Amino acid sequence: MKKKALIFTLDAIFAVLIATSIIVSSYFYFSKTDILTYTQQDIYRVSLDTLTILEKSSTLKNAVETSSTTNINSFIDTLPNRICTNVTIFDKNSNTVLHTLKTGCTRSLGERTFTSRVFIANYDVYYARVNSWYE
Amino acid sequence: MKMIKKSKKGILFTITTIFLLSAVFMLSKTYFEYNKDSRNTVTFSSFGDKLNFVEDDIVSNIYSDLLWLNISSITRQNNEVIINFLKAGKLSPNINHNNLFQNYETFIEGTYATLQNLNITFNNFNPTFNINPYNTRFVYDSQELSIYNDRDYLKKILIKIKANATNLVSNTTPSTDGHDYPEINVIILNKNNVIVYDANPQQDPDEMGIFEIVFEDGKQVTVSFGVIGESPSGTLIVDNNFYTEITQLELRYDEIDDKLLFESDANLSITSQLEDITKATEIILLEE
Repeated sequence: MKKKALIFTLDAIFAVLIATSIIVSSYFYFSKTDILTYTQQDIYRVSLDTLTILEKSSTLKNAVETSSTTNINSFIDTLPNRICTNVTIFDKNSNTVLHTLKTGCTRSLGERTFTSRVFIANYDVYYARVNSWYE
Repeated sequence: MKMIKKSKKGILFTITTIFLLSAVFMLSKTYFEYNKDSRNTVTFSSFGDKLNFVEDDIVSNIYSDLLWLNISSITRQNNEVIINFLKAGKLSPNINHNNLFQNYETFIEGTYATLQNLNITFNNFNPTFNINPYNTRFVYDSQELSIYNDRDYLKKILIKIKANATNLVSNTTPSTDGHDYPEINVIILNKNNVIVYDANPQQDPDEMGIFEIVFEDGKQVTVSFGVIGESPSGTLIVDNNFYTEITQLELRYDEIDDKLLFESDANLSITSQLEDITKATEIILLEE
């Protein structure tokens, strides 16, 4: 009877341990994936908004026409501290025309998002690409 | 008796196990579904955002940018509708409006569509647009702008053109016959913004009247109004052999209750093969 009880107790302990480890690892896996998805969404939306504002305020157009990124920098430098962004302007043949990076940011190899927006300057077609990531 | 008791215990144990396992299974399934739903919501909402962003990117202000337009005001007063442009186009033998539109279409359908991983198609994307319900049609073609009007509603056209020239050499103004026709006012400025010509004759929209302004070096601006060739009555055509900017255009009509709609002939179709979604849009310049 005593032996049986011991085996039964050990069995129960193993079962509880295995179940707990499965639950804990699942929780970490799922919660990590979700945070990543929502983080990317956040930064993607920031990129979309940044490009839209830069285009609708004619900042991109003026940058090409004056060959200066000063006004682009003035805007991207006001983004929240943790968000890093760089803006690159290409002509219609995808040659780089202008490039600028938010002050205090360094290039990241981690998670980042890309968005592009087209605009007209000097009666020609250009597009800007914003690349954003969390510092 | 003992055997019956044991088998009863076994059945109870089996039922409890099944019950507990089903609870665990249900819980896992619910969690899985919840997770899948929230992922789909995020994906579709972001995809919806992307399609709206792409559509807005391609369409918004494109006619204003390519044709150099600024529709500054629409006013309804004294049974009249007054449309005022502060920019109504640049005209020059060196500007090919059809090419500008073609280049944009080629870029969007090619490089841009690849960048966005979408199929994008324009239809009838050309340098023309209409003001409805007045059936006024604008056609840009290099050094020429044609404005086709419906004379039943038209009351006035004022056009101010800035010429890239300095000295007025000669001018011709159509004679007035004193009838109460739509009012035509043609004003020409030189490159120093000085008015060098201002004519406002009574002009029959069923006849053709020509305003001709000649600057140095044979630079010439011609504004024709009326029936021009086979055009409808009340057509206005600006034609010049050098660079000019239309810095003001005022159109006055009898008031109609319908809201004004500045619409192009073009429409746009954006398709995502990945998500199997197509978004089709008519390109509207402005809606009152």
